[in-house]
Amino acid sequence: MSFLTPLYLFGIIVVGLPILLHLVRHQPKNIILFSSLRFLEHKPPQTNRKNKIENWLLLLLRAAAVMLIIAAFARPFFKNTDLELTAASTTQQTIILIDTSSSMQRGTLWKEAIQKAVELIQQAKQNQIAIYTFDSRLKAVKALKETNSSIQHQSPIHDQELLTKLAPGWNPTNLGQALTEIASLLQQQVASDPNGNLLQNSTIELITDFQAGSQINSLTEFSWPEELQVHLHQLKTKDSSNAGLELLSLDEQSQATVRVVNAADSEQEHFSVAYQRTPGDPLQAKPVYVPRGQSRVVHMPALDIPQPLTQIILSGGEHEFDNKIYLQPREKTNLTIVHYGIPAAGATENPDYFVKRAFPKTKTRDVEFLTVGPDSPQILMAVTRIHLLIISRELSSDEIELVQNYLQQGGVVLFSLNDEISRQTLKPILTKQKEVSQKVIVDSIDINGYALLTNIQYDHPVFQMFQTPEYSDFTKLKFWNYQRLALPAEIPHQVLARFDHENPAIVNFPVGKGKLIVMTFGWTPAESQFALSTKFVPILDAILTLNSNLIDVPSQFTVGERIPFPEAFKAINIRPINQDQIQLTAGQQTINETIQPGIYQTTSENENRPIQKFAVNLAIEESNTTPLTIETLESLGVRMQQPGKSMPTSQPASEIRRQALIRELEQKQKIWRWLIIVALAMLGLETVQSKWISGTTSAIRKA
Amino acid sequence: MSSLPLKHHTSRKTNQNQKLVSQRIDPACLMRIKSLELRAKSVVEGTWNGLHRSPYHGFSVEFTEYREYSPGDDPRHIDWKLAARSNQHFIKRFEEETNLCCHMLLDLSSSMQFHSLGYSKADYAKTLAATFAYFLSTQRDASGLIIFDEQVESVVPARFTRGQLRRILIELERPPQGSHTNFVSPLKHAIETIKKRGLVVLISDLLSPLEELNTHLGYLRAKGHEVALFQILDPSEIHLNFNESAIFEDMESGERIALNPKSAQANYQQQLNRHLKEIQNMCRKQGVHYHRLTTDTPLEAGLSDFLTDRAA
Repeated sequence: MSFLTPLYLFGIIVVGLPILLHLVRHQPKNIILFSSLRFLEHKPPQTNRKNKIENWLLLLLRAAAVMLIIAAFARPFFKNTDLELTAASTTQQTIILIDTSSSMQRGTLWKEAIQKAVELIQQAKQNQIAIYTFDSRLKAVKALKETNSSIQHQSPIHDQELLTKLAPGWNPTNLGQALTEIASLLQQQVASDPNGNLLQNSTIELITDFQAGSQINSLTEFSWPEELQVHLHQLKTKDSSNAGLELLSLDEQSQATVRVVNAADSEQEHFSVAYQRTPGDPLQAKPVYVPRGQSRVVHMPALDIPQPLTQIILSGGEHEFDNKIYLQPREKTNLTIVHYGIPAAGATENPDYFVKRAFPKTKTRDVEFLTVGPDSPQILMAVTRIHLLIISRELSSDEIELVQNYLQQGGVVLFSLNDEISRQTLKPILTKQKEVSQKVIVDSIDINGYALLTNIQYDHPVFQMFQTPEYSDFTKLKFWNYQRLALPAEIPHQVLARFDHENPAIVNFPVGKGKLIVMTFGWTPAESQFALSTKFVPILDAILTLNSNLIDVPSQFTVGERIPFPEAFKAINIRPINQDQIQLTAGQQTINETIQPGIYQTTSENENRPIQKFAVNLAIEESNTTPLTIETLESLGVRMQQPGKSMPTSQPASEIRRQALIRELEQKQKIWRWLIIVALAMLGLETVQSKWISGTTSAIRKA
Repeated sequence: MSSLPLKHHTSRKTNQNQKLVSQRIDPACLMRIKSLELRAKSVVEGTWNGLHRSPYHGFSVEFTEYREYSPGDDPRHIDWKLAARSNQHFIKRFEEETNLCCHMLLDLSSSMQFHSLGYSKADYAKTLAATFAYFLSTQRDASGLIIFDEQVESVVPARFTRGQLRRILIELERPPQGSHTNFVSPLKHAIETIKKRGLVVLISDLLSPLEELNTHLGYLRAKGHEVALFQILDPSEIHLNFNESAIFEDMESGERIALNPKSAQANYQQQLNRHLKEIQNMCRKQGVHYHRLTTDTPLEAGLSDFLTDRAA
């Protein structure tokens, strides 16, 4: 038999207390102050109480009644097998989370990390072990689900084998994301856990250098579960000083601006920055003084050499992993824009005058603009090399065929319905079926004053840049005349803008792989204010970028950053110079392989796509190697286990569950009721007995 | 009832004293008067003027000699007429200003705080001392006061001046502070400081050991002082008439004993009587006037007994 509230059993003392008090001799309580005790002898006062128990039976009955009531308060119950089973049913779960960021390449950190992980696996033999690594992303080495799957997976030798395959990469650390993801995974498991005490039984063993650049801010937005504890194993190097290099800008002349960042606990303050062609051959070294915990921006000198240098090195930093950056100057894009219009230099009533000026040359692009008049010779270039085709005049049948061909291969055509003549050109471009093309109605419309653009589709790439309120005002753009375009349902189209809620103004037609943008108005001042408005150049530029060949890949990336590869291509080989190729499948936009800093180049199956080069450098946060304190994580709400405390052996959650079971069992049995009944019976007997005793004594007295 | 060997003076009482007995005031009523001066006045008023005799002769205004004035002397005593004649300053010296010098030694130890009648032995003793002082001041006699417990607490040197009575009354009004009784220091003080023969009145409950007291009383007598011993006791101290068992705490030492007073009464009275007899014998041997007063005795009775005894 056990008791739910055994502390009440101390109440049994109460039974003996009155008997003791009865037997104890009492001292008088009142105190008299007397002038002198010289003439008084100590004669203790005698009490008149009886110090002998006369009615043993009565005493026993009363004592038994009190004891039974006390036992009822202690809530007794009988144990059963369920209760004993629950005691041993809970198991602990240990999640080992290892930092594989580039800063772990310093010194012997990685060796220590693996050693620590092996130790933890040895200590937690009885527990279920999951292993995860993290840098900028969380990766499962042995996922939480696997821990329950097979006996083989639960052996420590298997876990240690998994650890030997790991190595630190080049990605930056995102500890906050890793912790939130692990906690979310555990919370998901809790939802399916019948016991509901998984979090209390789980501990995250975090093995990391816990550097200042660990990016833990995402924890502020996450509500950390109260029950889940994190045990931090912080690894430290002997040489804490470290400095890093970040590329800020790189102009066309390969003149770089770099930032040198010195860690707060660094011992060095004097560094030098230099270009490098081959290892051990620095050029144009520039000394830099960077105080501890600060950074300095350095403008590297321009080099008057034909081939640009591709590396900048930092000398003076203790750890080599972040002392080098790779440079890849941006290469200019060559654009070809063809305008089927009437060439007329200097005539503002001609569309060509404005459209020619809409595509200026910039630092990043060279534009070749060709105006093809009705009498001009045919262009002799491959259609795939044309990036934008603009039509503002009537075309010959050959030209129409060329445009159709161009559209089929994925080109972008801008068609301006600026006069009645061009109507006939539009129909065959829209569709080759004569029946359908006959349904297309294009005619002039009389406007009373002017027309305005309405129903603009701001989510389309052409108008996307005008989404914000300060740019979305099109009321100042007036149109004096336009063509009414009525389209049959057979031709797929999307109206991007309308005139006064009625007639289409700008229509997008997907033709083959390409896109045909039709404007039912002209942009010359005689027809509208479009060419003179601030919207003209951005809209034309947006139409140009609809060409999928023109997705511009930047030339500088940091490790772990998403690289936007064009979707249109099936495969691109990314080849680090002098290294193996990385193959990407269609639609894949990120690289799964561990990518290391260096210069990369892309090649495509598409012959016309030029080879592009880009440099990948380390994230500067990794250079900030100053160790953080455990309190930093605690302040973000993460429940930390104190360092030095061993793995949890107590099972508070299981104890709570056991207590709940005990309560349930006691409530089922309700033995206390029977005890109260027996106690009441005892009291009844006691009443009868005492009455009988008093009866006999009074009889004796009378006699 | 008490078997105390109380001293009976009735045989020696004069007719005048018998007349006074009818005018005596109940001590309980007397103690309700807050002012000590008024109490003393009530007792003394118009009773025993001229009942005592002085050990000295002569009057205070009697001229004896001149003495040259020296800085520090009271300028009031300069004979200005002589100064005008001789251009020299002389002090007039007179005979003693009083004919009796009385020193009262009052015990205000903790045991004197005992009471069973609504006022303590200390209150009674203070009234007695105040009565003496008032009486002496009306007789133009000098009076002084030494208050003591385990040490001498305050001293008012004996003299007859206008404010002397007030000084004594102020000292008597002070609340008692000490704990146990020690006769040595006040008697030693009296022996060392009192140069002129006079009357020394010791007022105490005399419940402490008597060895030292006996010795020092002998010294006082040897110096020619007349000594009167007033023992003040509470009626409860004589009879131990407590009903219930209780813890008795010694007011001086703080010692406690649990006691049934009924059973302890006989033994207590035996012990006390032995102590009182010792005091009586001591006083007889030393030639000291001994008067025992219980706090329910009218003060006039005790005082008149003393004066009659002294006059005899």
